[in-house]
Amino acid sequence: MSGMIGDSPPRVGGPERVRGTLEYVADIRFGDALHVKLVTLDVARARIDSIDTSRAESVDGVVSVFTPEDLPSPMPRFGPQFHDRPLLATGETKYHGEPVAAVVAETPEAAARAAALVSVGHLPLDGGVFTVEAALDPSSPLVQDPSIRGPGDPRAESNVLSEHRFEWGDMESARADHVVDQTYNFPMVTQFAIEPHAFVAVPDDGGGVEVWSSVQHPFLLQKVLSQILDLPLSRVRVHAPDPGGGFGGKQNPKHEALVAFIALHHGRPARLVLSLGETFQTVRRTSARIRARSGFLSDGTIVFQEFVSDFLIGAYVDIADRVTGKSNYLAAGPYRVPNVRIVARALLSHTTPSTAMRGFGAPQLSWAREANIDQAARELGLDPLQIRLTNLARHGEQFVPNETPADGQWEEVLRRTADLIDWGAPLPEGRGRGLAVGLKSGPTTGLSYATVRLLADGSSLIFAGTSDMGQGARTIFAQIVAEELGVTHDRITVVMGDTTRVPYDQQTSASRSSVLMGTAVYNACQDIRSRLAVLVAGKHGADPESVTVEKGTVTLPDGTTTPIPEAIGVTLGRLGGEIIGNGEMRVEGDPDHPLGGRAVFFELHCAACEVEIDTETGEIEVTRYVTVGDVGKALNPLQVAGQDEGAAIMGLGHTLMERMILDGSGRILNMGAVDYRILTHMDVPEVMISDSIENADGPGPYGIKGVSEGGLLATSPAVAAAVTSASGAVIRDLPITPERIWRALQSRL
Amino acid sequence: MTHIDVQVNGEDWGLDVEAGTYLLELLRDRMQLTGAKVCCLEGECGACTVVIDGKSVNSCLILAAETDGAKITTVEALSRSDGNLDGLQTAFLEKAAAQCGFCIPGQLMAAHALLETNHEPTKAEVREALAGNLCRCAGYEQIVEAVLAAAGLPGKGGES
Amino acid sequence: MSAPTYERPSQLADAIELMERREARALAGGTDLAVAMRHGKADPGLIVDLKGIAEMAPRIERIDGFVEISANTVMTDIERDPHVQALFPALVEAAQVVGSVQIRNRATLAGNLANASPAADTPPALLALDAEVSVAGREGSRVIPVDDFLVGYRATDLGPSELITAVRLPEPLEPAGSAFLKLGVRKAMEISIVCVAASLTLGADGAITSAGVGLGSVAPRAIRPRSAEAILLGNPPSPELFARAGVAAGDESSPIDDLRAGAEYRRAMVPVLVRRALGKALERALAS
Repeated sequence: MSGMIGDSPPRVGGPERVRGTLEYVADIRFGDALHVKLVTLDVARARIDSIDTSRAESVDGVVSVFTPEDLPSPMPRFGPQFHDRPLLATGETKYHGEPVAAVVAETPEAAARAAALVSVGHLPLDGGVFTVEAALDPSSPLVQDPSIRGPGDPRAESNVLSEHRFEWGDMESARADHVVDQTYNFPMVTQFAIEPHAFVAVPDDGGGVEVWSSVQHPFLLQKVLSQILDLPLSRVRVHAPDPGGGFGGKQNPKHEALVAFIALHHGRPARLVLSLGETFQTVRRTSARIRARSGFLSDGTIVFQEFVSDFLIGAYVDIADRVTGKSNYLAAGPYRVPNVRIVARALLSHTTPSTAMRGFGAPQLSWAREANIDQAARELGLDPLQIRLTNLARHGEQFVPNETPADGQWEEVLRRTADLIDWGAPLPEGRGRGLAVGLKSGPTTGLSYATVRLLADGSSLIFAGTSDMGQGARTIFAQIVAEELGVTHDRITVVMGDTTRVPYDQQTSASRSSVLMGTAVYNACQDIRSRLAVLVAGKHGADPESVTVEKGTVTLPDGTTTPIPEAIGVTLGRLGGEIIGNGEMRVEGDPDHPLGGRAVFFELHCAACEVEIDTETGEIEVTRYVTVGDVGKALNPLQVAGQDEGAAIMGLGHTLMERMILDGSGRILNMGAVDYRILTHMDVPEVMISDSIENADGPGPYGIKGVSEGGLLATSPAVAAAVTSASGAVIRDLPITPERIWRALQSRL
Repeated sequence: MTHIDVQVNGEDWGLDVEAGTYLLELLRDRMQLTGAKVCCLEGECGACTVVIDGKSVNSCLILAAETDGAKITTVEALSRSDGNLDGLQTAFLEKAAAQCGFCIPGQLMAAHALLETNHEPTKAEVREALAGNLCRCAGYEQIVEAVLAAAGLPGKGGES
Repeated sequence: MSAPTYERPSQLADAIELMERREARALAGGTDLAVAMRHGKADPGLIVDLKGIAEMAPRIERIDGFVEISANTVMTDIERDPHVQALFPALVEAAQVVGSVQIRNRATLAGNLANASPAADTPPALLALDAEVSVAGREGSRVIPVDDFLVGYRATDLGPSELITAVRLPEPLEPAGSAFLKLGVRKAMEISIVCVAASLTLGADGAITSAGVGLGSVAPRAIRPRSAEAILLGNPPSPELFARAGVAAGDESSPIDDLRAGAEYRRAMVPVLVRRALGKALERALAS
């Protein structure tokens, strides 16, 4: 087992995971740590009149209770897009779970006990904005005070944070034979990583701070902390141990700055580990109401697509405005559509601030767009596969103006999907089939540095700032080094997760790491090869040009070859040492582009499934599921399959059973694992097939593209189409529960 | 305080514990066995799964005081005395069953308990035995394949 | 709020005495009490661990025409017991869907009953199977049908210092079959939207000589729709009969809207599930 690209060597970090010795943030012992517990209210919206900490402070073991008075004034605010989120609620809570105060104690038990005793004098306020309708209603209270909206923001007196408009062609004169006009709803769901967020801050001796966080973007966190704490970057060290799942919910800073203030104040480590329920109050996916109006010719050719998308983003923006813009930009999907108009609004609400979640808004758009295409197919008497093939953009086609052209053989993905589900084969009674296509763009800008050190004995260290949260980043970087430098897999150590030890990486998101960091690692290897060529040539008195260093082998002018690891030991000579290679990938983007830059690549992914419906109860069984992605090159096929199948299961989650439920006061009723359902082992479709199309047509080394999000882009519309095919029931609101199917069938009687 | 005598991973412990301390926190905080994880703390996710007297249980719902006289096994005990991984752990690696890894100690212990009493489980039996172990990364398939492989049984496509 | 204390009595009489203290809560499998404690919904000053009590030690025994399940018997023992499997498949099916294996290795039947959640899985099966509860307290011991034991929403007939010592199910004297069905959104670790148990015995002429139906999640407590049973009794089984019984069962249900489902849907599902459970029970009775 060579561990090179295209193989599936064992996961780097695998042994620690199966031994149970891998330390996640909550597993790390900090000798004299103080434990923090957040104080929150039982409603979304309340005016804070007073905070009485006296009873809490008298609990044995409590050291202090932090309130806004203990933080700088004006209250520091942060956020990746807008600096709107305060460390603690100021004057009014804006969502269920917004921290009002923080108890600091010697033990977690004491902190929890005392948190219940902090008496917050508050007045619950009516009129909380929890729905798209309420956010658009001009008489609703403002979620954000105009004073914290951007300067000169024309919408500051509304709950519309932003409006994104994308248009091409000529909507006014576009004529269709057949129009489908429907509205779809995608509910609030949450990332539900099995590891809840954890944050530890440790003050150092010089006024700086070291922070441990389950964060996906350690360098972004470093920047935010340096700004809020007014410390130079060099005095802020972020440790980011491999997170126990992220899915976007751990990308952006949450309570690290608050914990850092507490640690610096007390001169001791401060530790905050959220409960699973608290994660529901911390992160979620943007929910959406999308009206899609699609025009077709009678042969199924799409003439126009019009979308009015309302994304309910929560009380603070986090990255959700970007989610809204980026996903809606591709609302029309991977199709050739001559006339498009998209109006997408990011709406503030008194709810958990939404953030990035796998798919970044694309699942919401697929839900609407693909369903309209399926309805058109039904009404025009067309095959749902055919109608998509008719419209799917071909490789190189400019399917969105001024944008990266279609970068894959997308019809091949769709055809493979159809083959794998036996599309067209007869189905027994009560069974139905559906398929759908999802599209998402990769990053539009980015910067990743990597350093590779080739050591004297031919072993290697890789330094990369990517976060390995289960997608297997460490492993593929090791495979690249194995491929390029010929170092065997067992002699490669990958160092990540420490801003002091690894060079800058912008973030881990947008399925970017195989391309951006992969390219940086690849380039670092090329740097090593050219340096090695110089050294070898020098040793042999030869011209560096005449020495070839390629794919793990050094070839001398006389034709003798030596594997790189062997050559290096000899070449370094008496002084020993190592060869250090640096690589980067930098994508500057384009400030004139609506998204700040063209897509580096697309993730195009198809889903198909068969379902069986019990028409008396509405119960639905997904009997077969197929997921196929356009990956360019699967660096590690087993890891790709694991990610794609995992994404499919997550997609089935929001399709069949996940939904955050709020009461009239905006309180989340189903926080935790009991009444918020994700799929279990027993809910997996009996047949699950995943496959990849590999045409080496991506921008990364070996033609790779990004993976890991595609697998849940098209799940919902594929299942909905199968449900309709099986039973006639048409569902436009997620999740597709038995009760919803039953209702839909009842209304057809 | 209650005194308990308990065997954990073959080692005997005599401890005084408070009534309100749970087994999960006892293992993690007092014995530094952090393999069992904190997630839902209500018996719904299985991240805290350990084996007591041969049975898989959620350690978050068991008071330390209840374990007097018990034999407890955690994920840390699966590796052989020579430090090498056991068959189940090796299978998990070979089938790429661990992604982020956070749920894996729990999955391993549930699987371990299953295989100790059922040497030839069917796929359905594996799924049922592990149904109490939530995973958010995986499609679950690779975990099931790993357990079947560890039992020496063919998984998907008939390969062992 | 002071820290709790823990006692593990080895004799029933000692346990009863401890339970007389106001701050005492009984702990069996912990799968309800520990959850409540973790959420701050229970804060007992005294935790009385029942698992050491000799009289309640895990045991499934045939005694005097009953199968008796002692209080500390856990769900996995019940699922796997050959007598229970042969005689009371509805109880096996109910026990099998309680939580997960980890939960079932600890959760006791007695605890499930004492907790009296309206959505609990085993009470409908126990109702349909005419089960009885043995209870012991300061005043002595008594036996009471499960239908009288369950008093209301999370409320039972247990007195302040009383403990369940056993649950017993009458062995059928004639060909018998039973079944349990659970309707939920996912296939494991589910709190039912509706759950249903049905039990039949058949006479020599094939007519139904006894019938039991139990419903869960459609009322403040698990209920036994007697009107459905009256329809079945004495009649030859048929799909039409089962459908009518199902309708009658539905008429006795009073479900609510909650997080998991709407009242209308639940109400509509009762006749469907009852009809199906009766069908399965009949199949088993004919095969027995």
